[in-house]
Amino acid sequence: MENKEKEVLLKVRGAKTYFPIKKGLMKRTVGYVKAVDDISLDVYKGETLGLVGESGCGKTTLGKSILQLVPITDGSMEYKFEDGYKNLRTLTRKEIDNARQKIQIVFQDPYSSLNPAFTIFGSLEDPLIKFGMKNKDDRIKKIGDLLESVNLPRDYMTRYPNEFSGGQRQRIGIARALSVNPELIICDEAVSALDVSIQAQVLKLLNQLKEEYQLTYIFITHDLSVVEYLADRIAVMYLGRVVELTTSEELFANTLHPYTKALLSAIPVADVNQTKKRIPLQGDVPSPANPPSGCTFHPRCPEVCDKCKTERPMLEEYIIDGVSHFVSCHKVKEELAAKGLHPVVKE
Amino acid sequence: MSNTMKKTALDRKLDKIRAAEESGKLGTKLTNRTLRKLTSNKLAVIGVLLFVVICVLCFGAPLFSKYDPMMFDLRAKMAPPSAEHIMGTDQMGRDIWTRILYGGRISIIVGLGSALGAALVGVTLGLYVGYKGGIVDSLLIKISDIFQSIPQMVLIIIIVALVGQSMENLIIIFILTGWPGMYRMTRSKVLSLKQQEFVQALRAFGISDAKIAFKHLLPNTLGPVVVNITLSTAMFILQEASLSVLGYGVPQEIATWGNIINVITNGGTIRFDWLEYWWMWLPCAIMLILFVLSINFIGDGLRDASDPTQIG
Amino acid sequence: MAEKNNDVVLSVKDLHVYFYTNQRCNKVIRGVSFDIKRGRTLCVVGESGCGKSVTANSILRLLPDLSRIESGSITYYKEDGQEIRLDQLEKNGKQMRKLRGEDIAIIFQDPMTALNPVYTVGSQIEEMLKEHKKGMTKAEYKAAAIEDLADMGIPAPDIRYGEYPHQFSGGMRQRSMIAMGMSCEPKILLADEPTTALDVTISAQIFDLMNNLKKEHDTAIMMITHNMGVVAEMADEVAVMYMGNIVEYGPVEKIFTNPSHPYTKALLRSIPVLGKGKNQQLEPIRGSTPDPFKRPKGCQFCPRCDYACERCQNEMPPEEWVTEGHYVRCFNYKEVTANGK
Repeated sequence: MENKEKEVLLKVRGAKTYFPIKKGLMKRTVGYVKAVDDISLDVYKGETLGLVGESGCGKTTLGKSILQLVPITDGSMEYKFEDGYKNLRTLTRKEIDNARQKIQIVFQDPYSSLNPAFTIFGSLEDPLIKFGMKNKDDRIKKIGDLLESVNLPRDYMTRYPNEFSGGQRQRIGIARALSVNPELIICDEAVSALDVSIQAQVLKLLNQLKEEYQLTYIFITHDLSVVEYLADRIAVMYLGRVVELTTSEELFANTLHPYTKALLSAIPVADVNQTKKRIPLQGDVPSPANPPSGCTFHPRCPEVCDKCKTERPMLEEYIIDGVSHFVSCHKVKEELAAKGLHPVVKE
Repeated sequence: MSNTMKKTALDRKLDKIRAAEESGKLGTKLTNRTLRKLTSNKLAVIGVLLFVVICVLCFGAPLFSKYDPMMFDLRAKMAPPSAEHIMGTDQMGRDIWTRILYGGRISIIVGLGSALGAALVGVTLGLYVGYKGGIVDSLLIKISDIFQSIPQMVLIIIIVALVGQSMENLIIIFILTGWPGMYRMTRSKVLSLKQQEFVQALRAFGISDAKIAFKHLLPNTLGPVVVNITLSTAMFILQEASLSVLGYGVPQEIATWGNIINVITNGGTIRFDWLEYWWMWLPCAIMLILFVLSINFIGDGLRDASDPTQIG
Repeated sequence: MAEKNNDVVLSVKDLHVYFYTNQRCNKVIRGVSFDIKRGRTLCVVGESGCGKSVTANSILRLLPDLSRIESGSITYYKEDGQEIRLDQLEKNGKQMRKLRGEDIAIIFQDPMTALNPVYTVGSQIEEMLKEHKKGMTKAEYKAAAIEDLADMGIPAPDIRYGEYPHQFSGGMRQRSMIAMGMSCEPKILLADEPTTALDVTISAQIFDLMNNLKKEHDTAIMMITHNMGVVAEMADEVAVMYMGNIVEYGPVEKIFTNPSHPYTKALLRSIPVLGKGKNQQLEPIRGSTPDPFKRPKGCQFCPRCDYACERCQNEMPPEEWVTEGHYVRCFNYKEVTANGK
């Protein structure tokens, strides 16, 4: 409920990102990979929204679509600018540059995210030049400040990426994203490639920067234990769709969707005292080029019924004990209805 | 464990490194690894020395010869090597040593100029068009396919016949036939770089395509480009020589290495047995071979040095 | 190490492996000792560059050319009582090749590259069988290969038998790799990060499969991983590696509930644990792993350690037994243990 009072920074409505599959000499389009298939969600100002799912679920594509690095096929993404909401898809050139300063990204692979041929200064200065910092001394000062804000010494700016460890590179990547003072940072598997002892350093840094710069994060990861630690709300994705979306506490305390349940049970927990029953999932994730009919999870779902095979469930919002909980499952809908809980009807 | 086995040469080498490491002698070397590997490659060092010596000789030709390469001296035509003419004279009585030096200038300019020109065209196109992709890219790939499927010599002879013989024309023709290789090489490198996250990050900042291609991608493609430039310099020098021997290269009256060797075709006014008059072409051929060899040594050395999978 | 008993199938003692590249010598493994026991899973856990994969590769002598086993021993105890010193065998000799696959199998992290793309999966499993189990007919080989695939829970194994690796998903490829590894019923299965490239729901399937193998065939498993969750789930014994040494070795419960090495302890405190929510305190380990060419003189963990003393800077602590089957390389382990969880 309290989410309602919060300011919505980004409204995603019915977003679809399809990649055409081209075949033959004439490059005819023979089908589409439905990487993101009809996603609607809100991102609130100042929150960390976790996007979790297995490979191929479209979480990274969604992140890149928000940044307009990948063109979206359908739907809208409305971002709150100083003068009101504007659809990111239909911005003018000038507005796009403005959006690029508001939304930034931190990448997964610390080894390919920095140009090996440039010093850190060389890698970080171009965005500053583009956004109006023409004086070199200003840029040196700014980049030094940025490095300090990610706990690295200022003079590292004259070094080349190969002199740094993975964790240090990842911090430089974060500094680069911060360089244009963004409001929203998309972290695409930002700690997945790091060693465990370094992961914690970066996670703590991200939390600290969030306070300091009043950032909003979309944190994309496959690692639920990381997202549980970091996120305020979590969206679980499966085959291009959001199947469950609620606060972090609610998701773990009151898991509704069968996929989320299975996912949670499959994660190895670093605690020998925790015992849990694993819900085994059969088979593999189907190809997003040819998703199953109805509910895309039905071929692997332990609680599948006939309706699931033909009719696609909608992502609907319930208010459970005062907490907003989105879920898309026929079975869960029936169960909740039996308890007298009905989906919130939007105006 | 090695006591049960014979120590191989490799084992002994490794023992040496280990001993040095343990005594703390091996620090992090500050010099560039590529440079270190290049200087430890004997052939490459020989190549560099030869290259420098030949270039100095050719471009400082007046210092090493008192003759004019175009000066006829019909009294001394076809003279064998002597104190006066250390490598003898040709059928026009021109000093061969002088002609080799001055001819080297033209040959090196043609070779290096064409290689640099082809690299400029190929790399520029490869970077920008390869990065942008799309129709222009697929069109260029097809054009380069066509260029590469016509036998190069035939193509060159046709163009020479059309535009006429001159050094400039020859360079232009070599650039025309040489760019597709450079283009393809740069393009394939750009295609793999394009997927890297640092390029995506630049795009996320809205940095322009031209800036990404020419500022950020170019330095990452330079290694193979430099290797390719050296190797194609050698190739163009050889092509110039073969074309000149066939009479399609630089105009006959201008001394080039190819034109000097051309005497063996007996294309001159006087017929003679070229085996008997060996000095008229053999020293030049040796010079040509040495120069091409030196460039190939340098090119191979650079390639090995920039290859991280090799020991060094 | 513990007295040799019948359950020990492989024993590694004081192993040193050095790598030689760029005219430098990198002491990747600096004295590692452990036993692999029948029907037990040993998890080797550590961060990248700690030497965990090199340890597995040294057992099968699959090290790169510019590396050597400098000292120490790797002994394989055959069922008939024969002892084979793997470190003394010829690297690619007949005996070593026979042992690979037949007695000791290995599965790698990346199932995408570990299978040959131009042969069918079935023929690659048959290849293994033909190499190690001679004298069967063609039909018998095929039947055995299909059975292996079926054992690994691959649906429609008779169809899958004739398919190529690219037609398999990541999880299925890893299962085929295990099928191939297990086809000759090896005594030891070395698994080098077998599920790192796979999704969680798929890795869970692979873990179940490996646990079944352990139970049914009494296979000894040595599993290499960087994920503490996987360790908690799979291991009977744990070896924690840091910069070329096993810093702590012991039963899984001991390692998790009563870690005696500062590194193990710090590691456990630095990872978010699922189910503990947003309020768990993460304590990152300060600094980063040292450059292998600029190693600390004494204990490798010393510069990052909260318990470091002067002695740690100058010498590497020896293996000290905390309790039966639990050893630690730390001068101050008593203090670490006493300090509570």
